[in-house]
Amino acid sequence: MNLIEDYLRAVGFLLPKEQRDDITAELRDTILSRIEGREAELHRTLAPDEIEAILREIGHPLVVAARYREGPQHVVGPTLYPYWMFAVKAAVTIQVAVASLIFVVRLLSGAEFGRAFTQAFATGFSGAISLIGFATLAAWLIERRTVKVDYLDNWRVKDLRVLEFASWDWRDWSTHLGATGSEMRQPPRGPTRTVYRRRRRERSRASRAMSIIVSSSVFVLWWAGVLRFGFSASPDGLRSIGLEPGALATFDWAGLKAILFWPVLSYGIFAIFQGFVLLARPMAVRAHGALDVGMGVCVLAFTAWLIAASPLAPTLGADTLAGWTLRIRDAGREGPNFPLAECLAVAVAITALVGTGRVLRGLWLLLDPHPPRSDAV
Amino acid sequence: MGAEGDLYESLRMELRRGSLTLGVLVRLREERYGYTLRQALAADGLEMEESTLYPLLRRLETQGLLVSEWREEERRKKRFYRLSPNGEAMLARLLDEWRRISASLESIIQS
Repeated sequence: MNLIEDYLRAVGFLLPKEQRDDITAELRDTILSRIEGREAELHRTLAPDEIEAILREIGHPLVVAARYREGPQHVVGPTLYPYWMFAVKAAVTIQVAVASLIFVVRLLSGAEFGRAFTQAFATGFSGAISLIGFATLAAWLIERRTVKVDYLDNWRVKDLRVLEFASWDWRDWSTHLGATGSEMRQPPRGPTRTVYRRRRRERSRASRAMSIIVSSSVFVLWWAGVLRFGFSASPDGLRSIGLEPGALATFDWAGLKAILFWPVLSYGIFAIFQGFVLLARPMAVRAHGALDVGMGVCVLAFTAWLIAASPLAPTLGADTLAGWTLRIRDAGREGPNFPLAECLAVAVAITALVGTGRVLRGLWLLLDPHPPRSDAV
Repeated sequence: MGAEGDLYESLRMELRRGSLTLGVLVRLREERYGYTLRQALAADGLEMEESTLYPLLRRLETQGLLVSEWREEERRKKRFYRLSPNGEAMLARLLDEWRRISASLESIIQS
């Protein structure tokens, strides 16, 4: 009898507490009835291995318990699978592209081929595996209705352009690139030009949402140290991509990252959230405007802090705009490498412009909240 | 056998899946417990694994189509299932549908 009780205990542990006794009692009766039936057929008692064979017929405890459970019995179901596959392809493509880019930059700045390749391969591989993991986690949540995605039921034809991204067939890519090239070479004639422009203006919200989600996720994972592209901000690491650290060679990057860790991480997570809002509620234009203004203000505050108060402030700032412009113009004349401080200054200036752009865009959406026309191409 | 046999098996399972519920509901017009229900269905040519039958019974009960009760028989407590009034009504509707499908298929096959 120990065999049966051990089996039932194993099933019981895997069942929800409130149903445990009820289900195992019924299962016990079934098993005993089956054994009795078999014994009546054979006119003798069953040996332990015959009892075990009956238990095996009834099923492995994991399977038996799972059949009683409610909710989906899969991670990614057939409905979601094509979306999951697309996300995985997109994420892996981005990871491979970034790894290849860093590989090429290192190679161009004189790194040893074998080492650069091994590094790129290792980081690309582990990064791709993490991204597949995150896509699977997202699919698991969506399957269980923890996260609802409006796009799955209410997709629009104009959103479908984003799918072109997943075409992994290189022949398709070259035809696509070729087509884009010839389109650009073509003299701008009447109708072609209008259609082209209109498409640009009506760039799909879903594709914008997807690109925000994917790029912010990659960024957050990198910032949190989950994804690595095999690059570090050490003086040698910087020289290997053609930047001269100069006075910043001894700068405490780890200290700066420690100050910025949580603010930047929250910003990244918030950006992912914004992407999901855009995907789930494409028509909530005012909400998107408010989010844009909020995030733009954050970006501006961040750049202001960098220039005025951060540990980097002494190397980035300049007293006048004219002085700053001259400094940037004259940078890079001294050695083969571009000075890091000026490179950062330009990056901060671009970031500030992007922040301003977001605030303006958000204000525009708040003041003129017309939903996109449904008859758009 | 091989691939073609596997294909046949999976198509057959798909074909049977819906009809098993129907068989269970019909058989439970008369009160039974799991073990005898499974035997009755097997005698009808509708073999069912325990790991499919028992969760199905529980699901049908939560859906209000079956009622169950623990009672002692043959010196052991057993859980008896029976069609509820709701179950009767649902079964009548499902049987109508079944006959309709069957008639349509017959007429397609004969044509």
